[in-house]
Amino acid sequence: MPRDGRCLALLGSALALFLCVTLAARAPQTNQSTTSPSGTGAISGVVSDASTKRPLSGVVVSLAGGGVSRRTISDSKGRFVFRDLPAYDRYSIEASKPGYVAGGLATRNLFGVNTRLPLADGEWIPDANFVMERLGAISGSVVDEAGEPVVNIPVRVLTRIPIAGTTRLASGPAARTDDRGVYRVAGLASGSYMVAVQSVQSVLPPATSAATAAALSPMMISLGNRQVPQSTGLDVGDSWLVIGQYATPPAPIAGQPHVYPPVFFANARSIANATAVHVANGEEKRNIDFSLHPVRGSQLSGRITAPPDVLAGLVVRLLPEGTETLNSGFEQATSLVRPDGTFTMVGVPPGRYTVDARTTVSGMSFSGHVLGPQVLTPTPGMVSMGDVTASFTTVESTLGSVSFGTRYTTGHEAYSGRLAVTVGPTDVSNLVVPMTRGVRISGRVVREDGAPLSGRLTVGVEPANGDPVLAGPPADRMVARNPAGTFSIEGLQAGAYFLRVTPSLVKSIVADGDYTNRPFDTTSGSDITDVVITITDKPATLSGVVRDRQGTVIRQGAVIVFPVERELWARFGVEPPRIKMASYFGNRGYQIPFLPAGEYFVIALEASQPDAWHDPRFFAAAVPLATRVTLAWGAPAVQDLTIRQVVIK
Amino acid sequence: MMLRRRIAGLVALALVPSIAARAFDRQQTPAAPARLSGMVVTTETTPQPVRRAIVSFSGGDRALGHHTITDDEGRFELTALPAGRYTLSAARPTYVTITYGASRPGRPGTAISLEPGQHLSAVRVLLARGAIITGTVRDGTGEPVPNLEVRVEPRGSPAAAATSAQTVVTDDQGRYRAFGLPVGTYVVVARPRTGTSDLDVPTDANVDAALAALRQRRAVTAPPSPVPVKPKPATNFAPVYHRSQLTLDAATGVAITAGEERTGIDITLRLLSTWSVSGTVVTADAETRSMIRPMLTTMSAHSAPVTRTSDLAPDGTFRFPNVVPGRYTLAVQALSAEARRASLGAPGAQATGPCAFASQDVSVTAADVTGVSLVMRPCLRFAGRMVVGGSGTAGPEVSRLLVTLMQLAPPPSPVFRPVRRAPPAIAMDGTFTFGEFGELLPGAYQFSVEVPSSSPGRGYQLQSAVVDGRDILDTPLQLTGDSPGTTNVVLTLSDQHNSLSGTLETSARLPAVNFTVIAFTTNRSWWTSPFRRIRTARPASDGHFAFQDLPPGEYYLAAVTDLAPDDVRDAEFLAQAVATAVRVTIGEGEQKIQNLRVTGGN
Repeated sequence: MPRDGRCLALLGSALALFLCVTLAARAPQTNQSTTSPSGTGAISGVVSDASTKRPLSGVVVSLAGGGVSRRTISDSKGRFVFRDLPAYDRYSIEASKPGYVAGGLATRNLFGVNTRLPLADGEWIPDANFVMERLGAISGSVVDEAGEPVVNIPVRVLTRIPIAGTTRLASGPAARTDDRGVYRVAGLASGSYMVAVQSVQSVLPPATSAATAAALSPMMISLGNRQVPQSTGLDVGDSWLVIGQYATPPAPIAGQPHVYPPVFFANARSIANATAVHVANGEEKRNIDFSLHPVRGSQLSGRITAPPDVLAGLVVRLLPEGTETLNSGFEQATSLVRPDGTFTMVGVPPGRYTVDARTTVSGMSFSGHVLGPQVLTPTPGMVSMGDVTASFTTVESTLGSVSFGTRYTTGHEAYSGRLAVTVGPTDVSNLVVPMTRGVRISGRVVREDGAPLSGRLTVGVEPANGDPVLAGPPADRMVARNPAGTFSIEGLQAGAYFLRVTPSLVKSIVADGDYTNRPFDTTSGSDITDVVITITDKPATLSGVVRDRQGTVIRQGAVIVFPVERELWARFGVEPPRIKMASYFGNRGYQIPFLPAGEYFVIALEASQPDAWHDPRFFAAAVPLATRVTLAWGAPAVQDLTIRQVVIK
Repeated sequence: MMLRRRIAGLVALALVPSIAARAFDRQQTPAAPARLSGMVVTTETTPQPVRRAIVSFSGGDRALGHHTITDDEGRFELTALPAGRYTLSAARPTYVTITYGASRPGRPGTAISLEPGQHLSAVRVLLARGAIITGTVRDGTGEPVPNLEVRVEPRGSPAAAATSAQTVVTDDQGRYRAFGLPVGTYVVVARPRTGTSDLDVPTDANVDAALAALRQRRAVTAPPSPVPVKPKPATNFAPVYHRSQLTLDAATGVAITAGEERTGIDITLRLLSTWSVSGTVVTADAETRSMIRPMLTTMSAHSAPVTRTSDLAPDGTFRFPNVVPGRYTLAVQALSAEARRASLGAPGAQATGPCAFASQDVSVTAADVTGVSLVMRPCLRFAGRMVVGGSGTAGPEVSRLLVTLMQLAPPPSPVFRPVRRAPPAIAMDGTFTFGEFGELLPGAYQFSVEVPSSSPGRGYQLQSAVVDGRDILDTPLQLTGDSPGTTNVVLTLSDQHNSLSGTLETSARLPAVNFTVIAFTTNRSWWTSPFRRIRTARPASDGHFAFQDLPPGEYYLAAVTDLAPDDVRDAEFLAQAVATAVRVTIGEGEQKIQNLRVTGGN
């Protein structure tokens, strides 16, 4: 449910918990009817294992739509049957079994459209078959320089995710080592992963009161019984270095802290030198072991320049080169900024970093398929009461949920600043990191027919290059309530952004020029005003059936539609309105219901290839095989297709 | 009740302590720093040094405390320590912390009184090797169940459960592993997530029959007729204790010794028959009905509440199918759209417009619960204002205070939980309102206030929460569904601090470091949750004990050896302690000294 999935979610402040509860209560999936509708349709199928090809028993198959919500379990032959179903044109059906990638029919979709099953009165769909891929795991152990197990520290997997015609590093599920130093990250779909052991060096000024330290240290956020467990730290010069949340380092030697630097498998010190671990379907990669060795850390100090209210409670982060797109939790070091803007970080191993100061912290993560508790505690200082954590966008994929997370404090203007820094064996001082106010984009939304706006309407931005760090500010969700349709999005960093309106279809975006298919550039730092977004309720639609070369209808597959303009094949943002993948099932073929008018290429692929278009070379390779179509506003177009195979060389 | 511990006879002494303890004076100018060094070792018969243990020296004037890490021989040293009284402990994952001077884990230790320039050396700090409980959770077909919460909890002691219970999660192979457990007897319970829609579990024969019927229907050209839906027994998973027991009482305890690894504590999940809960929401207008989604929330003293929702039919009826036996709260809220947005934290949104709720506790045992009638009433509100009392000088900035309203968890838990909601906006004039999002249900309530940069004995603290002339800090306010709530809460902050301190000495006039001093109110009606007027203090190495900020009133002082954390919540135990206790009265802002001597042995 890509569009439906755009909602607030996650994390640990009291407010966020409240949000979760409330929103979960409204998610369409949890709808229940007081009386379950009944009819004459039926859907049945067989579930099998992708690698063994054998039937899978004990799979929970869920069917939802049209007021129906049913679950059954596949029998010993992998079969399942739903009977007495009312006619409905958009049933969603999903299969799940522990140890397997859960999902809908042909659900290998990242940023695509889920398969929906149309069912008529009296119809029986007998071949709603699932082929399920087994999940893999990565396991190993962590020992320290004495060969002793390192206990209760997080080990995290990372991967690169295709987005906006490129790939970006995203953090994934983590596991904690047990008393033997053994960890196991399970629930991994086949793919390539990096594995990392982190150790965040968090510094608080020693004048910090216990209450502030408590609020800043995640070990102590215990909302329930109001206990205040003790936070622990070492005095290092004028700083207080939090210890006890990662591997416990040796005591400082001659006043110099020694720390465990982040390590990537196989014992690499940077993500660039990490060895990827390839996990095949159902494979467990064992012996992905780590040996931690302390190094002497340098001190890094400087000043953040920003208005006093921005500096209050600000935590500055130090990000190892190449990991800038990761959520909070992956810093090398953090420091609570003093009221005068000065900060000190200690225990920084030599290397290249970015000093990152921002009021809105964003990053990209994926969940994997074993959704355990959040085993990675937030970085000290990065969580406080009143923070709101939101998922800017969440999409389901073979990796699990992929989300662009963002955390901000309400009522604050967004400021940000970064500075690249190289740390050697000696201390670095007198850094100056200026923070600048984010740019505001404002304007209004009008309907093409001049009628007043109605319903829920959200105006948001997407970084054109898909950089999750830029995915900061929350969307303006209040547009439709405003008779004038005005919107305002604040806190945009320097970059290129597409404006998106959900759930409506945009016909045009005009400011000092036409931005319908072009991103806004905020690098000048000036606010962008008087944007007029015209929305329409007359989308173009495209549908048809797919046949093989012999003319036989293919009942299951994927169709990709993309614009003819070559410049839109890259840097197209997160959910481009003019690039759509639709997987389909049934004799009625595919349907893409919600497209802007324009010139498109459309191509049919096998069900196994739906996310091929994330390869930046896909579009060029697909053009010679694709069919060109012209779509007009409000006009349904029918285009039957022949299945193709795109080979990217 | 069996008492392993000894309640000492006490005599009150004159103001001058008879032991030669130098009174420790907070205001004393800092003199030469003190030093502390020692070693962290295991509790085994042949103690083993523990490397990389974090040693914490807490107390004195420094909020963050002093910490260090042991070297490879288990040694540590803390330097530049200001004189003061400190508690000392060590921590390392897989080990169990024993506070210096404590008899066992989870008990208060003896504070160390450190004088200016003193070098205290060869201090031994103990760590007990933690035990391990591990096993596999499987479902009824023998398949491992991944990603399932398993709680490992000490049997029979809410206080011990609060500190040493662990919630672990099964891995993808259904295995869990809890480590670092103190010696004791544990119950292990697995908590399946229950699906909210009926789960049909057909046999192969069922599937054969269904497919045959469909094939036959396809062969016949006549229009199909609906097959009557035959009711089937609904099932769902319920929490299961070790050895597949469904109740805590029937659960088999797992007794573990220090450092033991207990394997094979396996659990098989059981499918239970489930029932439905249905009824009607009684409300006047259709518009309100369209906004309402009934919520069914589990009531358990031991786990976080889980809430399910249901649609409300246009005729006002609702039904929750597939409910596992247990106790639940059924509730509905009707909020204006604006208030709903405000409840989601929308900037600028105000909690305005009508607000109504209804709630009822429901117990599901072995039958469908039908005909529940939820009558909507105006939302309960808890409103009032904050008053800064005391000296009134440099009072805290009211808008920076964090006011939390706490609700008593379902019995038998004595724990208050914060009401879940957005951080309460406390207005500049000190007024506040809870309940405008319909989040308050009937129950017992209490307040707490966090004042930045305040701590016991320092800064501003919540002194009273008065409703209709009664202080609800001592006796939580019961809100019933019939009452509109209360709008005249007065929370008073004060910077007036009292202290009740003294020395406890043995009959031989030595510091009585093996005792814990209990201060408990003489008013027996307050020997209940929230236990505000019951405190304990462990005398330091010089026999000095102190209670900060006791609510003014009359107290008993008693001295007990080996006090278990739960004892002071046991009215029977307190009644026994009265017999040998000393009475003392403490007023607001009073600095009282009461020295005590243990009579009899020891």
